[in-house]
Amino acid sequence: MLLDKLKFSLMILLIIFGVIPLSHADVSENDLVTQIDDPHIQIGSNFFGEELLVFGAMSGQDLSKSDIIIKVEGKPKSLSIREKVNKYGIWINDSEILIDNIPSFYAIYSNRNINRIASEKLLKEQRIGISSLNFESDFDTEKSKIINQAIIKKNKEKGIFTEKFTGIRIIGDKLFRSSIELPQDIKEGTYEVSIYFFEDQQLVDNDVSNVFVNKTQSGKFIYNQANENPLLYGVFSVLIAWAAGLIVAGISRVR
Amino acid sequence: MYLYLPIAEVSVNLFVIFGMGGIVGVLSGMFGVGGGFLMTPLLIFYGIPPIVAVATEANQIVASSISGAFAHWRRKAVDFKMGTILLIGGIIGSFIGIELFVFLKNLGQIDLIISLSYVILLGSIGTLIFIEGMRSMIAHRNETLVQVKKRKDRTWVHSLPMRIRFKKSGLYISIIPPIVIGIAVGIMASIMGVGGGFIMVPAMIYLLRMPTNVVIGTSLYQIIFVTSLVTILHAYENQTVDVMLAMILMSGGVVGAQIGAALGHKLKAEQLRFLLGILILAVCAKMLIELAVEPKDIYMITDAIR
Repeated sequence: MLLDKLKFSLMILLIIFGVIPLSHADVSENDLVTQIDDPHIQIGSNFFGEELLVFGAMSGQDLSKSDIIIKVEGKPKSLSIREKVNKYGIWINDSEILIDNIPSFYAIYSNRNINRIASEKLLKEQRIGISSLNFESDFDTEKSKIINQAIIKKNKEKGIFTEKFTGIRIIGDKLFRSSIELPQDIKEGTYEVSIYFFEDQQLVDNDVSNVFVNKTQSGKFIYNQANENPLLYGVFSVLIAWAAGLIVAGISRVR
Repeated sequence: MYLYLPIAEVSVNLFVIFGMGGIVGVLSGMFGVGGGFLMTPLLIFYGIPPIVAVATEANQIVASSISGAFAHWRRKAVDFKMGTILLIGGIIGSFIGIELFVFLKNLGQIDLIISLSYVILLGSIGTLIFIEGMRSMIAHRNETLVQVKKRKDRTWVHSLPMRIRFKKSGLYISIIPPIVIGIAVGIMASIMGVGGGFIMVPAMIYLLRMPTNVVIGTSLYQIIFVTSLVTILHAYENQTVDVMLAMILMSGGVVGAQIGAALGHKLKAEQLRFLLGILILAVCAKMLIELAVEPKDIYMITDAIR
């Protein structure tokens, strides 16, 4: 945390003195400029969640009168849902329901409640807010509502869906910063970071950039081998076990 | 110290996993059981996905059965011919078991079947051990000898065709019963991640009438190869063998088994068996409760496989 703060202060200084080039090349008047601290995130074998530091400024603009929303979104995927039903006194899975177009990660960070920042229609247009997400399924709406709620609830618990209306701090009236929590369960891939700048309920500017999450070290290697060369991986696992067993057999023989 | 398991895709406390390997190792050292039937449920309780727990535990059993089998082999207590016949059955059973596993997985019912199999298995084994332990404790207290049933020399097993001679065991019997036993053990290994010694050993003694001194060595010999095959098949079909998890369990198991073997000599056999029975029944009860209590999440949500 301390290191984060130090890094952040340093960045601010560098931005103010124009040392770090910001993502927009033409920093004209009234332009949103943003920076992501480290767009490459590595998941090691001891990954416990990481923080993604996003900050920026709106040049020539007093931030105290404006609103900012940051959206981080992962690639959409399909989920398999099975309702548990009680049969013969035990809980078993019912038949499968497939639901498409669910973001693998979705986080909204803002400086206040997004419903006060812009109209529902505008938010929906920009896909801002968990309630603006459209999951696709092919069955009646009553049931799909319940299931969508279950998906949202579960993803919120896992930290895969988040909404933090106090997640952006505006410093002075020039800079904003936010540290976005990436959970332990986050998958490898590209994540889109969108920053929206609102004024008087209107979208003034926005900026999109990408963050890459990589699995590194032994974790990634093992995962890839298990999925790409499953037979070889299986044989290798067995050989390790044979080696371990033979070593133990050897040790107990010496005794 | 926490560690992210690449296949199970969960973070686990290294010491908890090592400790679980150790405790189950102590039990196997004390009682001479493999421990797979306790380890897999413990892993599931800890939050490892059941399909990963089963496949990974099969991998660990390979290691523990090799070291065990070597000890028996040095004492010349392995009937290789019988073991090989049991192994042929085991190979057939493993393939059947894996097919069944994949089929149930696609139906979305594999977790349920794993849990149910454990409830049935642990329930029956636990009850048997418990009763046996009680009986011998009471008998011990009354200082009367337990009546040993005189065993018949020939049963229906001995009248089946395709008989061959097993010199080591001093038997001349049909190969059909050992193959059938092997198949059952292979299926159990694939679906439950157990070695199956607790089924094979009694079957060899009471059904095949093998001499008790070669029974454990012979079953371990068969278990090595069946669990090796099951590990490879799970890795190939389901990608669920977590080699990192397996290695931690193996190291915990090695330490535990040494302690267990030392402890086993100091405690009374009947008391031990009584304790083991209670432990198995407790695990069974926990598994049953998890099936019967209304789940917190009524919807099971997983990534769709397309």
